[in-house]
Amino acid sequence: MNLIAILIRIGKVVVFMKISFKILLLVLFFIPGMARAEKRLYLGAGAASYNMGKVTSSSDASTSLMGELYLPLTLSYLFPVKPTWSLEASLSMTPLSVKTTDSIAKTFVMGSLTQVFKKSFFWDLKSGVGLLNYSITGPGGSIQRSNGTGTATFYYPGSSTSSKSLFLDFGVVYHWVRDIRIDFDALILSPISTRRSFSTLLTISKGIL
Amino acid sequence: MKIQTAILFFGLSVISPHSLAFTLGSSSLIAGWNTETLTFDVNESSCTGLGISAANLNAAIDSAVELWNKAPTSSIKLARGAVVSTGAAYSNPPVIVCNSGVITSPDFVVAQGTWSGSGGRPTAGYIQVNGDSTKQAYFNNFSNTQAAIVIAHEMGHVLGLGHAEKEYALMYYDISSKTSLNLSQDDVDGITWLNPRNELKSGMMGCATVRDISRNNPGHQGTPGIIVNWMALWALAFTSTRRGFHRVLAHLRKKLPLSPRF
Repeated sequence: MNLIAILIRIGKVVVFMKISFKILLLVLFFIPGMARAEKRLYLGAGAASYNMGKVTSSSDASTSLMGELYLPLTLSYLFPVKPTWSLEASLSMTPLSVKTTDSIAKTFVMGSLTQVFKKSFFWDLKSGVGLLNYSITGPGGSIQRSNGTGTATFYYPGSSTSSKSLFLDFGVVYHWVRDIRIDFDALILSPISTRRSFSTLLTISKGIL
Repeated sequence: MKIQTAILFFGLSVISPHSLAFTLGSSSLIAGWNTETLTFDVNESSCTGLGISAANLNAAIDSAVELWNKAPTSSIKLARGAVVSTGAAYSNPPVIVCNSGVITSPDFVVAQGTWSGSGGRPTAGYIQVNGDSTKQAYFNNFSNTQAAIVIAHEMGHVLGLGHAEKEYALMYYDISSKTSLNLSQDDVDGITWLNPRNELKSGMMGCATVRDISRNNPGHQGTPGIIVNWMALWALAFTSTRRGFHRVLAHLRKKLPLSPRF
């Protein structure tokens, strides 16, 4: 075996070790609860799928499973009550009004109070209640749109209104690494009404205090 | 790193996934109908006289009513009202009537819905259905689902809504691509803007139980509803899950005796 072949083999081994080391680091990084840090105040961002299976966004008007997507910021504070559970107050909101191309702005503010049960070193379960405030603000003005017989003038709303819906919140908390947690919340809005709707909220948060 | 993360989070939060908006039928509208339940009377004889089955028309009306009543954040409830002999004229409750020779041109207008109002709110309205059997837009030429879509669309106009931009919205002017009767978020936003739902003031999450009781006890409106709503929600969430959690926990403790304790 000549020198070049030996060097190539050594090079391959080195490359293999480097890759293995990176994979090992990656695996270690994803191992849950490596060092769960007990924090009280969490700040995070997430994705809320609103009105799941309730509204359509396809041309044949069939319902969309995912509903409307919102990306709120979340602030949570934990009040320890017993060693096995805590109360958590959360506020999620779109920090700026989400605007349509026609400048109608929607603001999504959600407050909840949940009971968080510590189930293992890295998993928590939670349930509670909350209130969703959904605001719609129009810019005013008019627009020409088809009306079947040509075009007609239609109008944008010129003021703001908001609806308030109570909801039940059932969720899972996954303590990923150190003070970072991932929450998955299933929300049942207006649970006893015929207008009941479902939403989900996936949030990644970092403990800051 | 922290700053970049914060910027990323903030940036993600203001991304707009929305691309459309609802409109209103008039610039003077500041709210929707000033009623909890809006009924639509039906002039059945005007329809049966033009070959349109009253049963089919009523089925379409019921489907349309059910659709609007599912709008999650709206407070107004629609219902099918009485059988009347009123013609196509602004009335309260609004009337649904079939006509021949009114919607003559173009040939693809299946129905028309309109309203009049005062004080920035609709107060009267009507819907007229194309009963001209010589036209392609004759009501009977459409499937049950399309008929319901047409009636629901016209009810949207009577509620105060204008046309939407996207073809998948109920309030889009053309129904030809639709095979299902559903609302878009745009339609829900429109009816919500006109008649927003407030469960802190209304009854028990839509059942109106608390409010109905409080109506019989003047001076006790509002607050009891709020308290009972919150108590009911909390009790439901707490009792329905805690027992389950403890059962799961007991099971896990048996299976995993070394599981960490807090």
